Amino acid sequence: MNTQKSASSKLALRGLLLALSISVTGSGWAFISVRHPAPALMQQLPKTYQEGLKITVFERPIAITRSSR
Amino acid sequence: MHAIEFRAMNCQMAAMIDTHTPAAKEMLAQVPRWFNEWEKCLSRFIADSELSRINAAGSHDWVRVSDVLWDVLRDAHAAARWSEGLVTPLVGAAVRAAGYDRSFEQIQMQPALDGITLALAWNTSPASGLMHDSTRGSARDFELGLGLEMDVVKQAVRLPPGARLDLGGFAKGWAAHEIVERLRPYGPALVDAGGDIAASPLRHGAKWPIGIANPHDSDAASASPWVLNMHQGGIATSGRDYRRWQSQDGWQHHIIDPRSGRPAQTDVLTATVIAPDTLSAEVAAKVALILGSEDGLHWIDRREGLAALLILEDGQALPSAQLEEYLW
Repeated sequence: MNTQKSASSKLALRGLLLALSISVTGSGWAFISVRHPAPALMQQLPKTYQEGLKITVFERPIAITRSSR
Repeated sequence: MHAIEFRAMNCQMAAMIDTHTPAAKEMLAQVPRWFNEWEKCLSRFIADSELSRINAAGSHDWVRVSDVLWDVLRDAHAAARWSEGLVTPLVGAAVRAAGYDRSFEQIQMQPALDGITLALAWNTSPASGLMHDSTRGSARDFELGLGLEMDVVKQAVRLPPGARLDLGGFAKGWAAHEIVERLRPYGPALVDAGGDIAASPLRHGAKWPIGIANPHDSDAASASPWVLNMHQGGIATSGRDYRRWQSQDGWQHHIIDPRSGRPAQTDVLTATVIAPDTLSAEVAAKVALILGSEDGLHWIDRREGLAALLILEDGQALPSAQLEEYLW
């Protein structure tokens, strides 16, 4: 129970930070690179809100650097 | 986000641009063709490439070169000086002598190499000979850096005796940077040229998350435990974990230490460097690998704008002093 509450609090905090980030950009575009589980959080936002803001959320590394192959 | 993946220069390539405009998509579709054109110019594995013509001419003749090859050679020359001679394009003969005499795909298909002689004709000289500023353009204006002669008036080059060019890493780093610059007007772009990565800035100061592959667990590359945040610039990894092969003298790899003319003897398995541009990252990663972990990290830490992660043979991961600020 406590674990669930803690997870919920963390999610709420991440939500607050996300909202603040979006507010700060203020131009209708926000690109946010955040750690997992932010994508899950994004899915909780209303669809129109996500699309209107055109937010690019990186769920995982967009590329991997490695020795040439 | 538009993205494409393809193979070129014997590597897996990817390019992406963070916008949805049709113009950006059209531009992105050109990327494989650019890579193919440059490969025909810069590859030592294509018999009639410009690079092969220079290697065939050896030290006997001057060879006029295209703008593309000239640009890459000039960057490679600058890199050789910056690395104090540790990374130079003049290792073609040494890497061939070590057994890397055809594309790596062909080596993999035909692993049983004949007797390989490592007595090298090539001999390095330190980066001491830049005689003229390349922008002056007098009647006969040479650059003699590390033995490679460059005539800036005729845009021609000549090799020192016994030397052959190998532009593998330089070519990929140069190409990644060049493509990002071409895509930049259409939107924030990232190009992954076989692990050498160039990126232009995302909007609003956001950062591209780039994973570092774990050479000890290649299957889990997508779940890399190390992820870097890059706003813009370059990231490259140099390693002896993949392009390696067995000869009569044991395991060989493609990163030549110019001081010995042989594959580098080092405790570093892979070196990843983040830098203001991809070519600098590529060169710095090679330097760190060639020098080994202790001297390599010292070399990185003495240079502004560089951060590195070295992964050793025994599995240790050693960060440079500046790496922390780039961690995701």
